[in-house]
Amino acid sequence: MSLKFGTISNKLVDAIERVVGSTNIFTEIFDRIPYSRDNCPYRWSEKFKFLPDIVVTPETVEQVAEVVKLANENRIPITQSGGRTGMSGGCVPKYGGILMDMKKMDKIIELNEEDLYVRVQPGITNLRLLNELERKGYLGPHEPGSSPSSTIGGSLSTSGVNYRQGVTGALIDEVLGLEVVLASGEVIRAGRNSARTNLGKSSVGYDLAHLFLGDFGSLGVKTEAVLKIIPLPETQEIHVVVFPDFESTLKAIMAIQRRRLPGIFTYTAYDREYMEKAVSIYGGEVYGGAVMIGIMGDAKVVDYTRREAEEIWKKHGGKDLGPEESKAEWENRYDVYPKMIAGLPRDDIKPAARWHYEDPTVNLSKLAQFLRKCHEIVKKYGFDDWGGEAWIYDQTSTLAAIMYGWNEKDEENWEKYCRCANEIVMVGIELGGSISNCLGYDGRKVGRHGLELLLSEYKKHELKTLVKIKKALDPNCIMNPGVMGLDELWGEAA
Amino acid sequence: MSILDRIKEYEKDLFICNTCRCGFCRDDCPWFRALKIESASARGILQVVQGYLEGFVKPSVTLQQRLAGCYMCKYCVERCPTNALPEKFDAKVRVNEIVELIRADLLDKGFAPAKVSELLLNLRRTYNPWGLPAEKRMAWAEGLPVKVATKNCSEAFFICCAYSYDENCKGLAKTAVVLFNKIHVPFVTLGDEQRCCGDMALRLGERELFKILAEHNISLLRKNQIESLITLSPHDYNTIKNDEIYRDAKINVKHYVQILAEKIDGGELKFSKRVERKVTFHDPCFLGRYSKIYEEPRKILESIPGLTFIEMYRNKKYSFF
Repeated sequence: MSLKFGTISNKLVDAIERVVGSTNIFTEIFDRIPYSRDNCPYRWSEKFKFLPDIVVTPETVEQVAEVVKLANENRIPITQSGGRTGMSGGCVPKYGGILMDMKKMDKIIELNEEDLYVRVQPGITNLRLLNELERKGYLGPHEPGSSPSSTIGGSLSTSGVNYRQGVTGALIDEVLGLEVVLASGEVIRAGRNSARTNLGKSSVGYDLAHLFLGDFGSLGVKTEAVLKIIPLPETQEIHVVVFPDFESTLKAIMAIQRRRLPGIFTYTAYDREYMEKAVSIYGGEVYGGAVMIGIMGDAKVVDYTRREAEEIWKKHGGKDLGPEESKAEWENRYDVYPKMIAGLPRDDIKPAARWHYEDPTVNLSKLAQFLRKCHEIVKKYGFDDWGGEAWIYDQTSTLAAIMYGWNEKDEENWEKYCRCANEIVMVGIELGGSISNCLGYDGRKVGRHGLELLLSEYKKHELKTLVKIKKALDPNCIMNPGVMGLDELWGEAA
Repeated sequence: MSILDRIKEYEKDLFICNTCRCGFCRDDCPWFRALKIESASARGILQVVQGYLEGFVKPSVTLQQRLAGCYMCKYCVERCPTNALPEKFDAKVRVNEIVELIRADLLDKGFAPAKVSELLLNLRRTYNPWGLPAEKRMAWAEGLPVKVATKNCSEAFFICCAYSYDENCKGLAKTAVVLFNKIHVPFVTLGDEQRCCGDMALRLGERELFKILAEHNISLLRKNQIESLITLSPHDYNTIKNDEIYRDAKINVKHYVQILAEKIDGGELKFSKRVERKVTFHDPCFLGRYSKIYEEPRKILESIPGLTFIEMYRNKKYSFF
């Protein structure tokens, strides 16, 4: 059974309009164009290739359910959209159909200060939620680099990574439950082994909450999430510590991690190539390696952790750059994006450069090896090497990122980029890693990766297991078809 | 130079945004907050503009309608992460200027929503956006000590259409008369010969009409040998200071908050009455982001005894529309 979709008739458009109202449905080409790409690189000539047929902006779960039901009856694919900062094409409508933009559902429904959780709609941006919670004295559950623009819904669907993961946990750990609209139009509560969505632990049924996390919208539409919060810690410190080389940086991080010191919420490590590039833009001194260590908690705890960690990093040749440098580094934490366009000064960019990064998860012990090989690959392809960065939370979940830039308008570069990206990802896999830590695997949609790459991580019968789960919940494959190679294997899985 | 030729000057701006697509500008954009659709935001509309220039998006009234929703508040320009780059990269994405040019191109091709056409027609006929009688421009000042400029004045107040005609804004103009007379700055206006500064025409893409209005106002100044203007409206200030034609006429223009701040500095203006109130200040887009005047209004408020001035969460260059 291969995939077959219906086409959107005027009658269906009218029916959807009756559900959501005329101000929540858009059919003009100019309203659809901005949904043809996300933050992933695209072949320049194909920038308007993946267009939705209509855009719908529902305001209530009832509207979502009705639209999904209509889509299912007519076999129309639905692609959900949050902040569109994803870097793997997850919100791009490969098969056209309905683009459901969730940003109108952006309310904080409940802040439970007694039991420390917040109930939110998916369309709220991560930064808005963080700010609203901070005003009330709480630390929000999720702060990615894309916070000003990315949404909670998008972060849940991609299993995003969080700056403060060391203290608050990764977003998926902070979810107590979800409200999800299934392809049938049914609305379900998906808790943690429970139908309750306000409990962190139970033992009554499957852990449905986690089934929908990182699903790229392929199993349902998340219309509500209940997330843990913590009271704002008394104090926070950032230390940028530099080392003579990247190996000693990693050794110091590993030694500090083994101590399990309380309050460390981030280790963001940079290699020499990263610093060389940064210095060429902002000036300053190049070091062999560096790490940004963040500590938060009660002042006494922070003081203790800093003293103990300092002793260790000094032993490995580390030098704290002081509060001013550290503050600047922390305050610029969202501004990774301009680095992309800062490849070269204006005169040298004809026009500006595109930047991207691959983000396999590797074990911490493999990080240095991974980055070394990546630099060789980037060099081989002649791309602008932006250096390596790693978000380290524990030994098993290091996000290893290699960044590089090229001119996106040059078609020849697109082919080169695809080969380069695949080679880099393969390095991660060969080192026992996974294709992606937080960007996801959807490159298939935009012609970047083949199913072969996915099959280098999964065995075929394992992948088919994913398809079987999807078939159980979405028999017509209308929910974001095309992610995770599900469409490719649709006909093969019984 | 044709409008499309002018848009080509923004090729890099478009490319930066079209390849970056971070959308950091979106969440606090007033246009987006009203519609919550991608095309009503800088990131979205610049993709549309790219499509427009490549012929993929055809000119239409509905496109002009969508573009008309942009407030031109320039929040996106300030919020763009390219601002974190050193100057040498020259990577500013000038969204407002691009939107203005596309509106102009669409107008040239005959695409205008009814409301926009009506407003522009009013500006042509009666020199104010509402189509109210031109000869009533000074009606607000009846009974007030307001003079009309003659050849003996070197300085005059430029009164915005809103302050002249809009019931909600007239009070500000009247208060200004009292205030400036008190601090011995004669309240001289250009009378009912003054026309709209043209800000609205320019922002909506009617460049020819803007030219007509601007040239009229400049010739009025020349006729009366007026070299300096004081504006009450931030829009007037920005237009006269920064927009073509006025800019080339090199008029010495000040916003009234600058005059007041100068008088406070010089000891000529002192507030004697205590005002026991909590106040805040909203930075107008065209005074703040466009004209970079942030400190003067704060100085005025802080010099009032008893007043507690509290900054808003979003202020200065990030001020919300």
